[in-house]
This record gives sequence, C-alpha cells and structure tokens, in this order.
Amino acid sequence: MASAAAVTVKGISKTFGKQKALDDVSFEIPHHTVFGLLGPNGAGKTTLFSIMANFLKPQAGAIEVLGVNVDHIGELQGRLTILPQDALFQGNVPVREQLEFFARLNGMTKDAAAEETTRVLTMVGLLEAQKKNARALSHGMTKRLGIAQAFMGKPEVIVLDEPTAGLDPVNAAGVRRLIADIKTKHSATLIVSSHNLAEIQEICDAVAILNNGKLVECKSVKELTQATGVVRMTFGKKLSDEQLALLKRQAGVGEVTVDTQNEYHITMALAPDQTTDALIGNLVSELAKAGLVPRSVKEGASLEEKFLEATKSN
Amino acid sequence: MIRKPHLQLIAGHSVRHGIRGGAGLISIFMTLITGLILAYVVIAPLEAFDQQKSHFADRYAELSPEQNQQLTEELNKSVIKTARKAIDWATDPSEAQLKNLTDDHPAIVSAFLILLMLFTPFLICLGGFNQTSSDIDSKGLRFLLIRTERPNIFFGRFIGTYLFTAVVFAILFVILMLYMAIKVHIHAPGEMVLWLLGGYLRIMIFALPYMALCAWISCSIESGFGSMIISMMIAYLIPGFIGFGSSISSSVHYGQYLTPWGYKYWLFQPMGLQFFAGILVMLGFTVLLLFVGSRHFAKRDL
Repeated sequence: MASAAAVTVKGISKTFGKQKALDDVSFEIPHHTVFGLLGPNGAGKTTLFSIMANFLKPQAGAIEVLGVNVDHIGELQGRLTILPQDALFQGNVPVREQLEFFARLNGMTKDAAAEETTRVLTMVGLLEAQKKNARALSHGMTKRLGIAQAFMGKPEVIVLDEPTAGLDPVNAAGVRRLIADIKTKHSATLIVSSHNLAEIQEICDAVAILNNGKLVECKSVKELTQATGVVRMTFGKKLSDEQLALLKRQAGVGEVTVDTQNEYHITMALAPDQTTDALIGNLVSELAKAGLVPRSVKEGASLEEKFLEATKSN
Repeated sequence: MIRKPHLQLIAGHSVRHGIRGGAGLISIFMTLITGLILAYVVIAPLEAFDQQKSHFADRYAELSPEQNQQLTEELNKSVIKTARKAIDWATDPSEAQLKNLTDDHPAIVSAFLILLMLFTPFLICLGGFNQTSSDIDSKGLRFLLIRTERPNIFFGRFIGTYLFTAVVFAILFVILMLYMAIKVHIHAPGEMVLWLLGGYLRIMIFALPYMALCAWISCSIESGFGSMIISMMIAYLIPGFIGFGSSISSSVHYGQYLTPWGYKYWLFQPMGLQFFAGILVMLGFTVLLLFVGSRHFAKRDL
C-alpha cells in the first residue's frame, strides 16, 4: 500500500511509572530521506525508536510505517529493520547461524538466506568471524553485526539507534558510507540517532529534535542551518585576543563566538549594499593579509548551535 | 497473526539452542540424574535379591528346580508388593487403578513412573523457565520482534522448549528401557518397554501445563533465575498448602483440583472416562495458561 510518508508518528505518548518519556509527539518522515532524531540523554529518542519497532507499547497515539500500523509489524516482514541500541545477540550461537535465522524470518529461502548472510557479513567486514559465537566478538564487531542484520535484504525503512557509537573512526566512516550507499542504491528511508551532531549534519536530510519527551523542532537540515546570517570559520589554531579583535573589526562582522570544536561563528551585520559573498570575500582577504588563513568557511549555523538553542530549557 | 513458517523456524532454533546459557545443560543433567536415582530406588530391591542369589549360589544349587522356581516367584512377589506399597503411598489409588498399575502392567515400571511424576513439575520448570525471560532482559528478543508477530515468538519458544524437554526425557527413558531390560527379570522386557513408552507419553502430557506455566512466568519476569524460582513455587507450594490445609479441614482437599497436580494420577487410571478426562484437563490447563501468557506477552513492553 502506497503511503504519503514513510513513517507517520501520530500523538505518541509514553510514560514509565511517573516519568513521561514522550509527550504527544507527532511528525512525518518522507520517503527516501536520511532522517536524524536528536535530543539530549533521556529526551525520548530510544523510546520513540522502540515504539516504532513495536518493542514498547505507547499509552496514546500510533505509528505507521509504510502505511502499516506497527501493531501489525509482521505485515512489514523485512521492509522495516532496526539496529537496537542495547540488544544482545545470543551469546552461544554462531554469528552466521543467527543472521541466517533472521533472514529466514524475513521471508528468505534457506539458500537465499545463506547468500544474503555472506553479503552482509562481507559488507561489515565480519566474514572471517562468521563461525564465532556472538559472545566472542568485541564491542565494535558486535555493533557491526547489528548493522549487518539491519541491512539484510532490501529494507525500505531502516532505523539506526546510534550506529557509530563505540566504533573507531575508520569503522564509523564505513557506517556513514553504508548509510549513503543504502539511501542511493536501495532508495531506502533511514532514521538515525546520534550524539555526533557533525555526523548527523553530514548524512541527514532532515532532523527532529526531542527535548524532555516533546518535539521541539522538525525541519530539513538545510532549513535549520542556513539563512541565519551566520558564517562559520575554522583556523589552524585558536585565535589570540589580538587576532579575535582583528576579526571583529572587519566590515559587516557582528558578534563572534567560538564553539567547542574551535569553530568561529560570525553573525553578519551586512550593510544595505553589502552581499554575503562580498563580506566573505573581503573577510578572507583581510584576514589573509594579517597572516590568518581560514582552513574552512561555511555559511549557516551549525547543527550543534541549533541543537543547543532548541534544547536550552534542559 | 500466527505464521506457521515462523513458528517452525523459532521452535527449531529454540530446540537447537536449548542449552542457552548452560540452563539447558543443567536441565539435561538434573533430568537424567533424578530419573536414574528413582529407577535405582525401585530396582534396588531386585538387585539386592540378585546379589543374594549369586552369593548363596551353592545353596540354591541344592534346591530342586521346582523349589528354586517357587522361591524366586515368592521373592518376586515381595518385590512387587513393595512396588505396590510405593504406589499406594504416592497415589492413594482405587482398587482398579492399583490393579492397572501392578497386575496389568509391570509393577516396577509403574512404581518408577509414579515417583517420576512427583518430580516432573520440578524438572519441567528447570527446562522451561528460560523460554523468554533472559532474552527480554538482554533485549535479544528485539531482533525477532522486528521480524515477526509476538504470538509466533511466544508459541514458537513454547513448542521449541517443550520439544527440547521431550527429547531429554526420551533419552532418559531409552536409558531406562535398556537398563530395565537387562536388570529386571521379573517382567517380560517387551511389556516393560511398552509400559515405559506409555508412561513417557503420560509424563509428557502431564508436563504440558507446567511448560505453559513456565511460558507465562518467563514472559512476565525479566530474570531467568526469578522465573525458575517462581514457576517452581507455583508448581509445588499451591498443592503443598492445599495438602496442609486438607489436614486441618477435609473440604480444603478439593482445592487440589484447581491445579494440574490434583489430576496427575488420572493419567494412570485404566483406559476409560477418568483417563481421557485426565488428558483433557491437562490440555485445558495448558490452553488456559498459554492464553493468559500470550495475552500478557502481546501487550507488555519488550
């Protein structure tokens, strides 16, 4: 059944004892997008994912994935997959056998399941560990095994709860590449949560921000970060007070702040006849004359800045 | 929605990996040890008699074949009498049931089966407590929840665990068949094997409601150990309290019919109304417990 959105979240509320984990959350995730779900710890991201995958039952509201209410998740056989955050594989069962079992449950024949298992194990670099019991795998390998099971078959919606957490930079980059590949080759919709906001900004088309169980923002990354009158610059090192003063003295430069990554956020104060291009060009050339060569120049706010702004009540 | 292929897959996986976390291994070990000890208890008098016979072989040689035969029969009768007493103590049987167990079927085997029945809920709880509890705790069940409906997991695990336990009991009974065929000379081996087979089926029918109880408790408690203890307490404490209560007031005695425990020896009645009613009651308890368990599993957070 064709549906307008890949995922529709309608008025979801969930309480654990007296703690309200989600409070009337509603939004839609369009088809073929990479969608980021952001929020501080305890904001309700994993709870929302768990309801989406029918692990948890909401007190109110409903979630439809590809037009199917997740209460009837069996109807989505293989079309929705998830990388759960803390789930453990069966420790005493070989990796290959577990994946083949999952593939069979996804509706594959025995031969197809074996073939698909080889494909995903190769994809995440675990083919050599296929005969090992899951308990013999390291944390990073277990994470990759989780990713392998989530990418089995041809899922249309893939939910990844912190897919790069605990991975080394090489493997994390590999996962980001996989996400990009899956999106383009299989036209899948991916829903990702991560505390690495730079990563989310890099891979996601749109994001929703949760804070204290409430939805505080749901926009495309472009909408959220651009057209805010901000230019972000990085330099080889942190600027001295004199260099910072020089930067602030330039024409069209308003407030200057620096974030935790040593990225300088310059709020533009454009004159009526001044364009953004002219300001940036002038700024770069004036700073270069003083021996300050920017290593990167980006227009728009960082996702981190927007995230902190949206969740500042926390 | 129940999907047969999913049920088969989950049950098959469960049977193959019944030794999850070593719990299955303990279950196999305990079932075999308990069964063999009980078999030893009922066969020991016969073995003692055989030993005595070989010890006084020269004296027996002095007896005529008729006298020897008569003596052996007398001693056999006394062994059967002991078995009758054991059955009588455990079951408080009717005359018809006692005749069925000691005259119509090999008494030694009957005594073993009756004693094994007392331990069956314990052994079933040992084998069945971990149907889902540990995987709920470790969240490992989530890899299945995304792929199939909850009833398939609940019933698949139930069937798989039951089959695993049935295999373990079958191994015990095969060992006993061989052991009894070699050691017990007072009954025909064919009769003993047939009655052991019949007893195995009866024990496995009696096991069903307890396995269903474990399925319910296991999906309600996120701790394997807790699930085992509570299953065992329910299996034994309720009949225990009823037994204690009936010693104070005889009307409490009827409370035993609230659990499968009260009907267990109906399965050892001669083939007739009470025997078939016993089977129906066991199936009824199983269906009821599975219904309650699956409803809870379908609605709870996992």
